[in-house]
Amino acid sequence: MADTPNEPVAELTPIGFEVLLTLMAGPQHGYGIKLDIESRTEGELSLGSGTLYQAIHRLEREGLVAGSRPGKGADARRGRSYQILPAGKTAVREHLRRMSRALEYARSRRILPASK
Amino acid sequence: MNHPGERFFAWLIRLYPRRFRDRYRADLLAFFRQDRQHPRYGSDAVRPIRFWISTIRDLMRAAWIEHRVARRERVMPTHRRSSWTGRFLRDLRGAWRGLWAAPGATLSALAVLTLGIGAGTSVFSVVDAVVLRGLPFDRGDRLVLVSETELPSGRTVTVAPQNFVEWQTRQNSFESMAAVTGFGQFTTSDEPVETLRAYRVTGPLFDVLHVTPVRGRAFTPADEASGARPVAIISDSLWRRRFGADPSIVGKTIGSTRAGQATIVGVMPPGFSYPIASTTSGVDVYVPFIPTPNMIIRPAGGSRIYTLSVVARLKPNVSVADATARMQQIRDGLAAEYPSWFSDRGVVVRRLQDALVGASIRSWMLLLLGAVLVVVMLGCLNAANLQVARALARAPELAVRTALGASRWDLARSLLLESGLLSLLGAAGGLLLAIGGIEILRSTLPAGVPRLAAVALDLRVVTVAVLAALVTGVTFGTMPALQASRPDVVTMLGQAGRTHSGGRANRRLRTALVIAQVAMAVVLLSGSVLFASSFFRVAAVDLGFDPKQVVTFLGGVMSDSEIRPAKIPEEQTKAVAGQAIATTMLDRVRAVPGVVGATLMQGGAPLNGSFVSVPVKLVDGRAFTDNDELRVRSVGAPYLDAMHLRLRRGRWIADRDRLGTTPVIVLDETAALRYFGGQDPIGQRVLLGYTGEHGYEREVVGIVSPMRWNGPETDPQPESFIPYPQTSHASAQLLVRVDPNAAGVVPAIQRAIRDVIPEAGAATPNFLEQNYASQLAQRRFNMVILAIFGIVAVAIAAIGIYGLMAFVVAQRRREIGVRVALGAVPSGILAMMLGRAMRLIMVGLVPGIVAAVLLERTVRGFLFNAQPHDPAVYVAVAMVFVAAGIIAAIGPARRATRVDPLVALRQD
Repeated sequence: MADTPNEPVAELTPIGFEVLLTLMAGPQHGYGIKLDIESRTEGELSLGSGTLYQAIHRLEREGLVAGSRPGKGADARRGRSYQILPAGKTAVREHLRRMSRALEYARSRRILPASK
Repeated sequence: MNHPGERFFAWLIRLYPRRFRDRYRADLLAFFRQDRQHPRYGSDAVRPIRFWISTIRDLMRAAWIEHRVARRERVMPTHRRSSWTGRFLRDLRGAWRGLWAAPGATLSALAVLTLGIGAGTSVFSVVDAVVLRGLPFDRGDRLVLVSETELPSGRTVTVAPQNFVEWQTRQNSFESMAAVTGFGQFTTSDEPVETLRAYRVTGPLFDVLHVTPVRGRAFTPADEASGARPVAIISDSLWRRRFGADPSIVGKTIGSTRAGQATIVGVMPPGFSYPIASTTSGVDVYVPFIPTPNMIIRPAGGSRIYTLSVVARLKPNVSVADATARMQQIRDGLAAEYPSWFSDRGVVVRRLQDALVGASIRSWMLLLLGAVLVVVMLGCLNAANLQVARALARAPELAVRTALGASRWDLARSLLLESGLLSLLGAAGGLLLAIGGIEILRSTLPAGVPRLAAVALDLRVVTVAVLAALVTGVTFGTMPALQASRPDVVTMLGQAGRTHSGGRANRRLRTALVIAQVAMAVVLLSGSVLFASSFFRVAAVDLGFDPKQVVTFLGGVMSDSEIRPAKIPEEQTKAVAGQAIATTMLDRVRAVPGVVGATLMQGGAPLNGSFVSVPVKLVDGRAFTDNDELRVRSVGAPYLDAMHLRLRRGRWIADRDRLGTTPVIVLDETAALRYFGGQDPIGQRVLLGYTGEHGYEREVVGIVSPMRWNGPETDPQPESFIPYPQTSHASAQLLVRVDPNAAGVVPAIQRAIRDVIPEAGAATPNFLEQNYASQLAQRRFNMVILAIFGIVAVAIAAIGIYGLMAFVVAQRRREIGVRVALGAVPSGILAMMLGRAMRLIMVGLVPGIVAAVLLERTVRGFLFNAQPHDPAVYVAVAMVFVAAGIIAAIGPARRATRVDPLVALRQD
């Protein structure tokens, strides 16, 4: 499944979405992604190595992210870093759009409090 | 990566699918290293536990999901080159589907392979254990049995203790030498009372065999001194059975106070038994052999008793021939010193293995092996035939695949796999069958066959069976198909979808295979008939008595000096006292419910080979022309009814024949005819035992039917009966006819005997019917196994004929269609097809019967009173095959009669 613009936007899993959201800010290595998600979610989502790389594997297969070549020295100690691809950015935006539409709807129907 | 936790995690990574782990291994490890410092696992002592639980749980879940992903990718391998194993699995699945595309042929081939391999493997396992395999001792090929021989017959006999003692000091061929002899009375003290199988052995036995007790110690010379405290070494199985594997067994006692006790000093390793056990129950107890003074001196005119079985281990570089020559020298030296001991005795050294597996057992086992080999070959031929048929049927499909670009290697691979798979399935089924078959064989083989306990399915046999199946299947499955796929693809494709005529060579091959099968099956079935008729001839022999429901309890053995009436007063007193006890015992036994008749006797029971014989002549001194000795049994009056003897003339022994009345004798017809010819023996007086001292007179009072005392296959010998009270016997054996419907008779009789004679222990019952059955056991076994082989053979041949006829009918549909269109009637077509099947049978019958007639000579030694080349046997076999051929061919032939000419002709 190559990365072609004509393809429909990829569906994201909750964890895949979180990973992509982190990578929107710039390339990051595996453990950095985990720490970022953890701080953003205030520890609610703490990923193990397996869960994280399984999600990365899937994102790579779908052509949404790409890993760097294995680094040397301090880089090697932290593992490969991952970069979001254009298709990934599209997917994140699409996902966010759906989420905000859902949010607006929930607020208008007072399912959620109007604002923080 | 020297941290143990990290090493463990690295090891856990193997749980991921290969591709995943190849890609992310370094990343996962880096993650792991950093995560170890994460504060969320706490800072207390359980931090590592929290960390590992969380890590492992996460890893398992991810690995599970990744495996599912990997599987999904394997199923849709469109965008990546499949791995070698993946291709193999795909081919294997294809082969599996290919097999079940023609379930009939596949199932028949499987059945035939299973039967052939199962029968072959189980019989070979038995032959292997009984004949081919070495002894279960260290360097068992160096063990020999040293025996004396009876001259001039050369028959081996056991050894006199005096000679054994001399051998031990004079021999220099053996590393060590030991003697073994049976030991009768060893009964357990607690219930259930059990008579243990005990042997007396000399100390070096365990050295000879290179075996030592696993607990306690072996015998020492001190144990063998006369007057030594009685000691015993027990078997592992007895230790487990009666002592619950008690670890502090050494020092415990075995036996009962009444019948003798011994202190246990050792336990042998599991499975050890010497003499080598035939069945699973081996020797339970070993006690030291302590010779009595009589066994060492050679008193002038004293009796010679031969009781020892002598086993020895050859020195390195000494051959059996060397040892024999040396023992012969020793024997000659002894013969010069003690001429009376050696006038009729020689010596022989034999390998223990050869002595154990005599020539007759060896040739019998080889006969079985030969028969089963024919079954296996038959199975392979048939499987080959079916494979040829399958391959031919697949030719059009292969042609299509070739046209679509499949290489010959692709085709060969798939055919190879299919044949291989079929063969392996057959082999697996055969081995399963063999596991059951071996159990059946082990329980049906006569008890006299040595080393039955060692019979088991072993790896070598399994390997050979699997290889044989693979070679047959692959050879016959692949070649014809490849041949068929080679010729012109266009022609083949033109014919695809219907049976083509290109398989003429194949049809010839198949016809030849079927004829070979018929021929082999004829040989086997002829064998079955020969062995079955032999068995029934033996079973129909009139013994002159009826062994059913007769039990004997044997004690001491009598000698011929005891059968004359007691003359000297002290002899009389002893006999009267002994017989009084015996009579009391008899009365008790008669009172036991279920006892139909009981009698005291001496002189051995029928069917166990024991007898006492004495010279006989007429009282006026005239010797009989025939110098056969007369066999004499001392029996009571109830004997006639208990044994179902048939009185021909005169009277039987009566209660009034006691000590003091006229001594009488009853002859059987064999004796009457031999000694008196046409004269009437009744009222004649004969002189028994006239050599040495004076003979004693007895008057002939009756004649009974002739008897084959030692079984159906022995010649009738002159037998006679004298009244037990008219002898000087001081002890008696017991013969009882019991009611077949009464339960617990034997234990009740044993109790009755023990009540009167406490030292009798548990008297061992000896069922005549069992003796009779064991005499017939080998014939019965041969008959059953050859009958099974014969039936299997006929079935396999019939499957072969059926397969070929079905093939022929399918191939000739068009021709048959033409015939029908031209006015052939169904009965004509039926006759044509059946005639074809009959031709197959006939062509196979002729070489089969010729081979069977030739082979008959080699098996004649196994047959009882066989009439050479009995035409009835071969006519019967031929009839069976004609019938089998018709049954096998009738289905395809009837299908031929239903060929619709329109359909058949439209196919072109």
